[in-house]
Amino acid sequence: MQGDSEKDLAARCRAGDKSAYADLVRAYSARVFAICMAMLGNRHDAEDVAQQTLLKSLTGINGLRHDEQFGAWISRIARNLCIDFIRKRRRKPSLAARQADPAWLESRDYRELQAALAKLPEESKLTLMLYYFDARSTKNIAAMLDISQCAVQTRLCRARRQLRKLLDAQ
Amino acid sequence: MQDNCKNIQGQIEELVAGSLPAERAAELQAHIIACAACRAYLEALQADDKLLGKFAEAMQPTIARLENSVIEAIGDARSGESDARASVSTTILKSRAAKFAAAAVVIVALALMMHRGNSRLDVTAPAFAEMVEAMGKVAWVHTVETKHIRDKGRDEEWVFYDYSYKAKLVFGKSDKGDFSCQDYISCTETFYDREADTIVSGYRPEYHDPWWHPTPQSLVEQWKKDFEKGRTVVTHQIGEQDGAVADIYSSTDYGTTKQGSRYMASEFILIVDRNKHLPLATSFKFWMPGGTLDTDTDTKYSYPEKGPSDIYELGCAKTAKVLDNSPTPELLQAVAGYRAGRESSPLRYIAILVTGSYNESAESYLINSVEVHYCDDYLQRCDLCFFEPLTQQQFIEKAGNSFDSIMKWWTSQAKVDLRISHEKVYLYGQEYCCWLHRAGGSKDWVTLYRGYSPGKGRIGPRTLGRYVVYRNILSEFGWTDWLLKTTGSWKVSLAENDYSTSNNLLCIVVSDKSSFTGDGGASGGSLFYLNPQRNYICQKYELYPRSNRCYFREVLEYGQTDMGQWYPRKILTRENRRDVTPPERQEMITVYLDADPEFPQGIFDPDKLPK
Repeated sequence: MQGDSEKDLAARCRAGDKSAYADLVRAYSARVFAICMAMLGNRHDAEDVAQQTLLKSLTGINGLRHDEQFGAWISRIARNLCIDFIRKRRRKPSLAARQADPAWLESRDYRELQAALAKLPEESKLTLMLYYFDARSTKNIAAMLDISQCAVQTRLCRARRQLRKLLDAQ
Repeated sequence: MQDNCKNIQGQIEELVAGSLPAERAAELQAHIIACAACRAYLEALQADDKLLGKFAEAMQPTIARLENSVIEAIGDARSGESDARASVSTTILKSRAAKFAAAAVVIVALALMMHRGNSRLDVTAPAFAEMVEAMGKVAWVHTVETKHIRDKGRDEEWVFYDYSYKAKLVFGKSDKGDFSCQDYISCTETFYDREADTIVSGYRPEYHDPWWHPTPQSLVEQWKKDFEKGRTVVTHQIGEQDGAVADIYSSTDYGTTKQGSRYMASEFILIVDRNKHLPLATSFKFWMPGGTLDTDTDTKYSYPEKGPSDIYELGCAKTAKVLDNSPTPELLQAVAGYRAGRESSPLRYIAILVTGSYNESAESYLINSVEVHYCDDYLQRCDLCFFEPLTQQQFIEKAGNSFDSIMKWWTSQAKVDLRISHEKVYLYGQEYCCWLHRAGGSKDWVTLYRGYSPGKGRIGPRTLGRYVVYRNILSEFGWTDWLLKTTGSWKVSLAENDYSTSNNLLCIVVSDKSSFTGDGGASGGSLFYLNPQRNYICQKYELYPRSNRCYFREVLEYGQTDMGQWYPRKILTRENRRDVTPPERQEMITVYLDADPEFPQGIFDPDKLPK
């Protein structure tokens, strides 16, 4: 969902085309969730904030100046909401898990991966999450982060290297 | 792994990412077959790739649930319609946990948006703009704030305020017998000192800055933030308050105890006259996880035609002594000159600050940091680098002694020449502010803070040491805003001493103790020496806080731009305990300035960091 089709969807949403909303949600859920997961580190919190982001972007879509920048725009909404959430979380306990975790998420592999991801710089974490959650598309990542595909490749290589070092150290 | 293999690591990473060109992939494969270390690295990265893939797969049910919940919320909105002017009760889907409450809010909003083509949350969000406009037209706002303080041995305390936004006056009175009046036009604060049974009028230089003035916007701003932050449950009803038809908005937040049960953490209620758009009451409650009410504040608003004319009308005894510390015309003129000088400081420049710390055994200043400040009005960036100390001679041999030579060395050779301990980057822009750090030798930047805040002006933290957000480094060194931070109990006055008279400076004393004379013996005050011949630059300040410490900063040399703007060129700072000699910390800062800069491409871009 890139280039013209992304722009078209955003334009249709702004014009009030109801069917476009669902398509836009399907296109961006994984990416928004990836951003929230990278920033919050907890899938339940990430789900909550991702939901707020998607809803907020739909209600505020008239505030979008350029339809082709929907990805970068929703990315920024997600990050702002995550920052707000982190600030609130410091004052109050975080929400407990509401859904039972799938078996693999109880495994040692997952725990080690989580521990390593938590230590990664935010930029690296974000790039990896976006890559793996959204069909490994560097083009999509570039649009979300408003950087070149070349920069995405560089960040991905750096992120893998850092992750490997952290996993080796465990 | 051999050195050659370290270079090949990057190619292996590209191979795993699928971005390595085909011709290089073949060469790399040949190397991998022959090299056990590289083969192990490739296998490790492939295993990581599989692990991350599995992680993403495990998240798919969560993402699917997320998609479905949002699409369901949209679907409900598409099938329903609502009239904003009817008495709408927003549905709170408590039984489906609070995560859907946000969706509930938006369901109604989306329905309205599609029905009326309007993207405003006009059912559940108060009409803040109308409130600000309505309050801007009234003569006075009378507020009574009641706090219930059950754990402090008191039932309640109250305070009331009368605001006149037009006259820029605020009167206050509390049940403890405090009286006060802030006058933002004469820049004075009058208050009743109960201990001394004295009415004191004091000068508040910061009141010259409109940022401090009470406005309807500043009152409404916090309410707006609370509502727009997306509280767990927001409701709207129509009711009655003090005989007026009122919109009643509530915003409730939930938390979770350590045992995993949910509890109501806070509730904010705003009641607004539906016809006049004037706020009538607010209520804020905050609970601890155990259910104890921690904060409970009710405020009522009314709009009389007339307000008090002085604090005697509030009930302050007429027998109280009066101590008038209002500013003299000479003092007002000095502060006006200071503010004008501050406003005239360069706004667009590149400044290199070279800092040397005094070393006792060397008996000289050893240079241990360089900072490069790029300033384009509200766009500001500072690259700060700390390194193993160099003598001044060593530094000049490497970098030279001019802006151009230091900048050339800084951009090409400095990182090779220096043994860097750590670096920082501070970036301030129109919509973001970020601070980054990295240790010497590391290639990776660690984000200490990254915030987004739309709009120009005061963005991010107001100050970060010397890196002031809305005032740049030259302005801060030349015209410190310490002079503009006072409280009503402090006296601000002009004085004379040997330093001021021998240097033709104006000396402003700020102190809350009448005994403070600034001779270094007493504490609880500050002295600011302004140079009228140099745009009222604060040539020296001495801070004597109540502890046994003192802080000095003195401009030893001035510079002047081609446009005639003065700026501090050499600055000495000292900090010490007053019973210790020599000073514990003494620094000399030299400023090299380019006041007609060409900024490097992308220098204010937060994604373009030093390599």
